[in-house]
Amino acid sequence: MTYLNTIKLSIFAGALVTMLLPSQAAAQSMSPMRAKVDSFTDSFAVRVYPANPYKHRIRIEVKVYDQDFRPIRAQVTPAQFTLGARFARPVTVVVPFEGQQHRKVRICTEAIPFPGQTTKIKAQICGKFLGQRLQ
Amino acid sequence: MKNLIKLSAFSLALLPIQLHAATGSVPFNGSITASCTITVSNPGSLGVNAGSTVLGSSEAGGTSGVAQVVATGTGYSLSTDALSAFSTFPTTGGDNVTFATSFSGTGANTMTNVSSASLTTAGVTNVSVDMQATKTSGVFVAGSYAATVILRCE
Repeated sequence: MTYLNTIKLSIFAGALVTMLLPSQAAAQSMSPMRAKVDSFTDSFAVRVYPANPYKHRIRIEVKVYDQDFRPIRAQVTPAQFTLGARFARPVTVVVPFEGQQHRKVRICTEAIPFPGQTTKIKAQICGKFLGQRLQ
Repeated sequence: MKNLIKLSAFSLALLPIQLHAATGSVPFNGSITASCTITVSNPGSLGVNAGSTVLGSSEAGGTSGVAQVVATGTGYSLSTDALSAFSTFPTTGGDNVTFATSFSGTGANTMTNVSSASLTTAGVTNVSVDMQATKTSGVFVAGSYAATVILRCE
């Protein structure tokens, strides 16, 4: 199976799982924040919905970490984007199992300060996700 | 016969005209996903102590950062990351400095000067975030200093 097909299958599996999750309400920073994903492939996919609770647009970045907050390799689409006021959009995250049977990851949404801003607090919302590889 | 027709017409006129009206119910459904929202309303600012050895939001002239945390579920934790350096500082301003971050909260959840806490109650928690930088050797020289504290809900 090619890598592209694996990704496609993972996205489909992830989409199937996330379709069963409740839809996001307005003004959520990120939802869902907990999920368990089963996958038959070498990777698993999660769809999250970062949201902008502010009355102005913000730049958002989605990052993926392991349990010890070390950045891990994952495909985030899109990884950075601008989000309008009180708006949410889907982000698909594909995480490779990298030979493991289970993989616990944190998917974090954080705001990127616009140039020139002197933001002293950076809000970070992290969801915990468990990927389980099915044989 | 004419009277009978008139009587019938009069009787019909007395009948309610909304015979064909109907009532119906319009259902509304919605769901709220358990989640956490952080809204930063005020960035903090740093003040300096009399000896110019401590730069912090609790010093004179400094202010705490303010954020509102809304949890629609329970089981989340709120924490601040340990700071390792200033993001902006003058030459030698960042040498021999130790950092400390903490936050306090009121509202749905109450905590005082902690770096990590569990959000055991869903609702709105008003959080004030503090940071302090201490020179272990020397003093803070003149210049602009800035640091960014990460407030995390997970």
